[in-house]
Amino acid sequence: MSPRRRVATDYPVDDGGPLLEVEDLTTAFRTPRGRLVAVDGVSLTLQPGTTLGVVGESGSGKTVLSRSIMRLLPQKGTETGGRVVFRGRELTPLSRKELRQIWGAEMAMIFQDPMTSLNPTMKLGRQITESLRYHLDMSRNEAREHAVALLRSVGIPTPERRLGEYPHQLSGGLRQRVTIAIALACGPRLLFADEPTTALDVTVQAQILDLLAAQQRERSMTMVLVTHDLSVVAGRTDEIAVMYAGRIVERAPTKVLFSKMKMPYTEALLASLPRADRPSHTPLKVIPGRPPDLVDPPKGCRFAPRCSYAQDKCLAEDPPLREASPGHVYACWFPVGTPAGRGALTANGRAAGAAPADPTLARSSP
Amino acid sequence: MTAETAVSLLDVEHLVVEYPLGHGRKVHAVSDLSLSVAEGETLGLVGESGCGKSTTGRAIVQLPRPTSGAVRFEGTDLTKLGGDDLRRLRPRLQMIFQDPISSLNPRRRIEDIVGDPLTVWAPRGEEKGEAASRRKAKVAEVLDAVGLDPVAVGGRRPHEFSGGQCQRISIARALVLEPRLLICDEPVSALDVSVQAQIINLLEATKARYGLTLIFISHDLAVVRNISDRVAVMYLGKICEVGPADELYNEPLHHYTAALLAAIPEPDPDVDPSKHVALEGELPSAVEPPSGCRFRTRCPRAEGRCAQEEPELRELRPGHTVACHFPIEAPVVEVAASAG
Repeated sequence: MSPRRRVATDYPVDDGGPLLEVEDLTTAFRTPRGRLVAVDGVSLTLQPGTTLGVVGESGSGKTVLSRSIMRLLPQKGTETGGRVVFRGRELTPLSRKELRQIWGAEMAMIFQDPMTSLNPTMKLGRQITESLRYHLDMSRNEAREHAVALLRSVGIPTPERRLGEYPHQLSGGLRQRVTIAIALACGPRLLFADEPTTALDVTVQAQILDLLAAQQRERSMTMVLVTHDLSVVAGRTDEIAVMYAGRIVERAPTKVLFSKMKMPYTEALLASLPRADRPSHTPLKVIPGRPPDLVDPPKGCRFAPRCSYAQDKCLAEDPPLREASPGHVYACWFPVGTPAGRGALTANGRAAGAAPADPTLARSSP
Repeated sequence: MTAETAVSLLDVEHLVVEYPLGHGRKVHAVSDLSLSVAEGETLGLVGESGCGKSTTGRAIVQLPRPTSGAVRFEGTDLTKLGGDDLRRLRPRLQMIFQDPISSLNPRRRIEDIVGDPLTVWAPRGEEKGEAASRRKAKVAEVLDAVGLDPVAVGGRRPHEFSGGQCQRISIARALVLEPRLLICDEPVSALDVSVQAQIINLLEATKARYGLTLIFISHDLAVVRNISDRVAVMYLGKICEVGPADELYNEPLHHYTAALLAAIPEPDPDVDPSKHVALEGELPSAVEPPSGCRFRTRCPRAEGRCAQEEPELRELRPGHTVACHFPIEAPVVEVAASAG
């Protein structure tokens, strides 16, 4: 980009290694009820130019994970452990001031609700040019021209006029395009998109996801797409990490994950999705209960209390991440599609007959 | 079950809802909308945000009263009823809202939230003790029906529950007066996938148990197909297509329906989402809706006629109506070709 780039340049040379390495990342919050471990020992590696999907229910730690990597969490009341290495440089010991050189310029984030991530009292032009002026040291006019080009590239009609408008004058879809423009302004290498389309309609969702994919290709950017919806990441990612109760419970290349999933949680998540290509009144497979309280997570496998494969061993011993094939890891004692898994299902089928309808606070709850 | 064979429970005729903006301008939220819901069926109402689907749901229960048109429920036109007569009918039409937490009063206990309608509608002259025990039994019954333990839940307050559980409580509250029609306005949109499936299955079970008729409003096409017998697609205050759920999804007649269906992401990595033709642009303003067909500004098939002449709803297949001058042809030819 611009030769006058003000960002820190003391990176080791790009050697074709991973863009981001996360090792045993742990984030805990001190709450009145006790220590809440939101991200519990997550490790992952991102190669440049790839897209990783992070999938999980609310409270699974997927948002805290991306914010922990960017170190966007409040310092007060938060404990973090583990290592984050970005382009060969460790981020953990950096000060706020040093991080500010990285935020926006090297790593950027798009949030779920564009109305709350944009400043309602500031014109859009200023919100877009702010980072250009700061990071790239552009003059007012240069920044303005650049902003117009950015808005045009994210598909906003009449960008010159939009610069003088406020967020409330735009529809939800256009607002999300503006936040994408802001995130892309300084040409980051890594983009976190945290539920970027959850607040939008299907048609707009498709537009925004197409836009992100196009921008990613054009800029050979690396992207982390965080969502609760497996169908959003199915056709648009290289790899998927499924999170449950603060941990990655399965990670695999996208096609492998869908065809050879090993973790019962992944299977259950997919089965509970209503599908537009199935006849109406197709009964949905329900995951009974709800995710555990992270202040006091259950012993053993954290999914065991809701799992149709669960055996005594699952309630007692925590399964480690094991490798099924290169790049495909999972944490389960009785994996899907294996003799052990089938055995566990049959054993449970004989014991219970059918799973209880809803479990939490239901009369028949154990 | 189709509208012809069954008695219709609700008939909405030429419903119009407009909000004045001053200076003679107004928001055309719902324009000349007619639909009927048969006894015992589930009608899905889909469309993008701002298309008037929630306004339609609210206008049916007269909250607020529509600008014009008739809403006939069990043969009675609700728009003609005065305050007291309307109030007497209300127990038979209940509504469930999107945000389960904000639709429950945080300061009240669950047994009061669910039991209040019974106190309001207690028969005159009923003794206090009798009323209390009847109320207690009924509250226990509906809480049990939505999968909550009345003993454990009754004394607690909404903040002690998750979103999914609050939605169960809302459903219990709606059931307690034994309504005939339940209008569900985006009841699962705020919930996680796993919890969403629980609530959808619960609605199906409750419908069967209490013999309910449902209007299910949602922007999520997959959810709507799953729960509905018939589906109505709305665009900018108007219905563009109504048909049996499976037929409408398999062979849509309206270009808007087809575009909506193409935009649904599929949980299948072998489907390349960028191959679908995405709908360009956004919903036009409801203050000055386009002339003629309201979808024409984004329609791939639009011609001069679409701007001048508004398409009427026509029945092209039994029970399947569409408002389009150039409806999508049924892919009969393709099927024959691929078979040969």
